[in-house]
Amino acid sequence: MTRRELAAALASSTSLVRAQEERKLTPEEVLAQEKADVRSESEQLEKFNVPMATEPAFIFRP
Amino acid sequence: MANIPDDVFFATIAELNGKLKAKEFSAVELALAFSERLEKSGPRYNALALSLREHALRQAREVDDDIKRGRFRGVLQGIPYGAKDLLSLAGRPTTWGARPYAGQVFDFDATVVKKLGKAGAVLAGKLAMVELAGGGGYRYAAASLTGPGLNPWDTTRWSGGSSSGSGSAVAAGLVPFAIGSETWGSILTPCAYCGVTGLRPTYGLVSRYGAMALSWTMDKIGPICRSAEDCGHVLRVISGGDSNDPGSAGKSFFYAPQYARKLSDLRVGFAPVDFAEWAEPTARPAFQAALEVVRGLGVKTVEIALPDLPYSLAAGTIISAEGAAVFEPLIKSGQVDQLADQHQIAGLKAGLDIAAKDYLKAMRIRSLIREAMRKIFIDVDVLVSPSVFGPASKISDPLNRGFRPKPEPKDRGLRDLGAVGNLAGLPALSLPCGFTSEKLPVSIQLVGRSFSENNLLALGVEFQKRTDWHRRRPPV
Repeated sequence: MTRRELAAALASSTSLVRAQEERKLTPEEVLAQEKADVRSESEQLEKFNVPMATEPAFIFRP
Repeated sequence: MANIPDDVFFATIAELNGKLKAKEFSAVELALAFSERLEKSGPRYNALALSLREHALRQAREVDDDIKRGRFRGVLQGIPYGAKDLLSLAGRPTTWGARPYAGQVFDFDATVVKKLGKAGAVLAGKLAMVELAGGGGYRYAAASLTGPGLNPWDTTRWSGGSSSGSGSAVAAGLVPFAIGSETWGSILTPCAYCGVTGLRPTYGLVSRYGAMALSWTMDKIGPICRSAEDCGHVLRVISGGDSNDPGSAGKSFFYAPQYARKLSDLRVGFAPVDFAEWAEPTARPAFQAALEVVRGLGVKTVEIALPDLPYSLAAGTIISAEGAAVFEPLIKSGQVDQLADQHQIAGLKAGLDIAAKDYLKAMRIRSLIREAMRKIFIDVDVLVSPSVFGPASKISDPLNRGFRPKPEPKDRGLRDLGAVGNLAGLPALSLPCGFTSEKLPVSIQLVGRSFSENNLLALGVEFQKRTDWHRRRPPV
């Protein structure tokens, strides 16, 4: 593949991604996306180990 | 009626106070002049939620009576200001910038409004904001009942959020100072984008009673002004314990620049990568020049980096979970669908799915972050970094498509200082520090230990003695 062909291929894939991003999503699709984000963040949190003695950063006043 | 010269609209609080005392104009004349300007130019930037001209004139008449009797209540006496529309004022609409709350009226004043009133400050108007202070996460600047906040430096650009109107109104000389709020970036971002000075106080220093809640453990209220000194004057008045706010630290703030630590005793931490690589190329010269000014103040500078912790993940999870809990009735009633931003609607709904274990994990990570910051502040007194790494985004651009250097720098520097500062409840002062090649303002932030506002302000005042970025005016 020539450099010009490679550049053209990259440009078209970039604009395809951009076009997909800019396609107006339905409210249901946006909600599905947000819920997927919550799941993915949950997975990321799960992977992070915290020592057992570390308590949540609440401030209680007796 | 006195003819109010244009310079007055860009004067600092101390300057205005001097002119009032010298009887160059009365408090009523000043209130009227600012009210007219706010009503005329506020809509140009979508900055005005509600004009309070009659309320302001009533307060100003009381101030004039006091001045006649020789009763001086302090430097804020007779100074007009604007309040972000998440603060209640008895009997007047408080919309939280959101359609479902357009008709909402409270029968009491927020504590900060009450305190400012007692100090003789004159409330000229409620200022526009991003709906629900951005709760749920918004994708476009148009996420507001009043439309996108427009930047006085370039109206094709955003004024920043969520205290959009507070930032643009101060920048455009529509009010001498404003009150904003920050959960994660909502004071510092509009200050940086609009080229004004703002202070995010230590969590608990300023009462939130009468303010909309978004995240009980992260919400803070603070001043947006023309100078660091003005921030000190306003913070002195609005700080203090309040039994009506469960998060109140029960502490007051006394602005005492004369007793601040000597600058030569201060150790200032910074990360070179923030200024050289994370910053947008058009902003780098301004940021680097600002760093040189900070060095020139005689402080000791120390290179520093944040430890590797999931700052944004923790902050995002906590705000989303608390925000969804706050707005559960709105979400469940279906009225949430009246919000302007589709992503925000979905974000609030999805927030209800966050599991208790995830919220608690994020809060435990927050404990680690607080401990990490405690250790960092053994070695340094203040951290300095860009407030935002580039200038205001275009109104039409999605907000998640900001600049990110490619390839990403290996060193994270203090890139996450915004998330860190808010998670750890640390104070931050944002100072205008120059312009990009497109003539858009950029700012640096100073972050310190809890309740170290006087250190930040002393440094800020000295920075502003050596620069004039905070004196620059947009082409209004």
